[in-house]
Amino acid sequence: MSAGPGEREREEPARDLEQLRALLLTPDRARIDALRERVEALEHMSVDALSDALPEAVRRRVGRDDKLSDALMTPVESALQTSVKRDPQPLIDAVSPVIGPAIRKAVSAAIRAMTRSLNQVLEDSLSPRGLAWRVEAWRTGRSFAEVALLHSLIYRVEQVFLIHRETGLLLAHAVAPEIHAQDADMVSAMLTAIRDFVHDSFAVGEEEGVEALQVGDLNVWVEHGPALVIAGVIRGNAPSSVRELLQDALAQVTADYRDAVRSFEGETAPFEGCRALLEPCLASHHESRRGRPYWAIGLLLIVVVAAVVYALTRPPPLPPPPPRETDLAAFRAYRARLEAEPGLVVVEAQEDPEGDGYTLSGLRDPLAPAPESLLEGTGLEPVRVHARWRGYVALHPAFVLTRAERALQPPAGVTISYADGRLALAGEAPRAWIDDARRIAAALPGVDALELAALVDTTQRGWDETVSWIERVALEFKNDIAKLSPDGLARLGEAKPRLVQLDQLARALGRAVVLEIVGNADETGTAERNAILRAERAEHVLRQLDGLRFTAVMLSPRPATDDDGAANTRTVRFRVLLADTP
Amino acid sequence: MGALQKKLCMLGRYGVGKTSLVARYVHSIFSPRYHTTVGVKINKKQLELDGRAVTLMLWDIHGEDDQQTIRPAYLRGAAGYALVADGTRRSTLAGIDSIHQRAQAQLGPVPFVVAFNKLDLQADWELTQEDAHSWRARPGCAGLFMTSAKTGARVEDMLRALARAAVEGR
Ligand SMILES: Nc1nc2c(ncn2[C@@H]2O[C@H](COP(=O)(O)OP(=O)(O)OP(=O)(O)O)[C@@H](O)[C@H]2O)c(=O)[nH]1
Ligand SMILES: [Mg+2]
Repeated sequence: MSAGPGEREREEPARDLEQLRALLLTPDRARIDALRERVEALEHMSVDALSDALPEAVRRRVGRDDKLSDALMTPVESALQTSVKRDPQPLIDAVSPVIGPAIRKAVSAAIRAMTRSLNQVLEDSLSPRGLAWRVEAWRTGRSFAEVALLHSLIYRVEQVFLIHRETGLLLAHAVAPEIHAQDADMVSAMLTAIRDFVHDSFAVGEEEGVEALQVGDLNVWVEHGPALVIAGVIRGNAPSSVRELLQDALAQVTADYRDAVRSFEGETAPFEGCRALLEPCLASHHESRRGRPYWAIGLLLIVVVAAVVYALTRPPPLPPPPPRETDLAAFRAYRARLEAEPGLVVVEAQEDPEGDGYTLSGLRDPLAPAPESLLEGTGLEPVRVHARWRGYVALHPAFVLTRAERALQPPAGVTISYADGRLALAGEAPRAWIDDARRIAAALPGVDALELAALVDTTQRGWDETVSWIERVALEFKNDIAKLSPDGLARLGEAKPRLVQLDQLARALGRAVVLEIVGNADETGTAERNAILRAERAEHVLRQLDGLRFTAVMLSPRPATDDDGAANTRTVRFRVLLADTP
Repeated sequence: MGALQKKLCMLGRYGVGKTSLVARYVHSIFSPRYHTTVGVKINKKQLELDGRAVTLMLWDIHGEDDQQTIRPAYLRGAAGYALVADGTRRSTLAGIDSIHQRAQAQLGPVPFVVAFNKLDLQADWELTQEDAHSWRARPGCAGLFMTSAKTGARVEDMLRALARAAVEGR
């Protein structure tokens, strides 16, 4: 055996295999080669081309959906974490210029708000309100501070001013309803002056004007734009969202009125439409009760107690309802009674479906009898009538009269009657009551006219009697003497109480009165001497009246003239004149 | 609102009567007491000019003395101003000259009026016809008035003239 054939035999199968592989794999091989080329090409271009394409690709993808953001989130987060773990400083340096001022601003605003609220809370914590809040905290399971802060955060934007920054002139003004607005132009100018003052005094930058002012419990929040300023007057503690409202309104006005602002020369008419843009700023937050209110708890308790009592004392079950026809007849009878009764008006009456009873609604004068009392004898069970009555005023004559008697409360000796809209008063009454009666009667429903012909005014009568008594008095003097005789003095003593009465009556009647003290003399002696006597006698009586205090009566002494009559007597007489009737 | 509004300023040395002139014009009152103005006091006056409603916001600004000059911010946006001198104190005339220079520099050529005030104090009067002439001749001057806040003489004329010039000056 030689080695040759043996070698050959082994070579043969190897070549065959090669051929087989070539046969089987040629098409794939070409493909694989092509692929390899592409991969190599990609490896070449990648860095440059990708860096060109990436930003655009990212932009597009982000615009399309959130997948990219989602995908990047985790690596970015972990990159940040790693960075912070390794050395936080670079990140801090990068972010702090942005965040620093924001935080400072937020913190100081929060502290301001907190101190405001806390002051309020401290003030309130011992007051009844504070105690009520404690109860509410206990009831709702919240902390007292939370409840107190909640209640303190109550505010209302009462006014909004739109101000032309340069001149301080008012362009537009919006006021919350029911607010009494002060002189808006003045407020606007004052705000501007204050801003100017602060500006100059503290040398702050042009864009950092005053942001808030406090006047008593009013806060003024100010937002500045380049040409316009908006200011909100706020009562209470407003949240920062109000400032956003102001900013929004300012931005809106600035955009919409750009030209009008630029050409502003004092003419405010073009800004009339601005008000509508300011009005959304008039926000408010009112106290609202949360949690179960006390009355609800109370009501619940009452219901529970009532239910228990009812269960314990429940009457035996009702007998079955009467047949429908008799029941209906009884209801009709009841309704007829109601309708016949003055002061009751049936508006609606109907049978409930399924025989549950009857529903009634109507009007009832408070003077009318209770509608349920008319049920008696109809055979209708009260529980089967569901009635709703509302109050009204009936003009039935008997009612009008009753109301008049209650309102006027006539003194003994006065009778009141009423017919056809006329209220008649008869008898005697003092003036003060009559005046009241006039006023009250005018306001009584159903009374169109007041008859007073049969009513005697006792004040007036007293006046007439007193005046005529006083004017009959003659105070005697002796011949040629200017002092009262003993008789005269006694007579004056009687007259004094009457004079005091005159003063009182004059006051009651609202009259100003002059009481003339008229001096007379007889005709013996010279005319000159008599003239002196007349004057002196009047003066003498005046002095005798010194001790009396008059408020409606003025005393006026004078000598008698020929017109006075009784001239030829040695007397002093009185005359009563009404000062207001010439 | 919907009316024409104008901001006007009262300028001058201290104690010349700016506040008194405004009080006379707006409230028709006069007080011999002197309360110096600190900062600015704003008054409002509504009037009619040629059938047109005009609202004046009168900024009564503190008078100047050697320590303090007027804050420029107060003048901002003014449509005109009144320069007030005290007829019994000649030195107040130089005062308005300097104020006028600064106001024109800040506001541009807005109209102004000049008031020689306290005319009722004739015995102490120190200003002359020449002073009046030299002011009347200045450009933008809408009038020179010898006023008295005490008697009310020419106060209304002066401020109406200023209002008119401010309305027309645009
Ligand atoms: N007799 C007289 N006194 C006047 C007149 N006008 C003002 N006064 C008085 O002068 C003083 C100063 O007046 P003000 O109006 O306060 O002066 P002002 O210019 O406002 O002063 P400042 O505010 O300090 O700048 C007061 O005592 C006034 O009563 C006037 O016409 N006649
Ligand atoms: Mg002053």
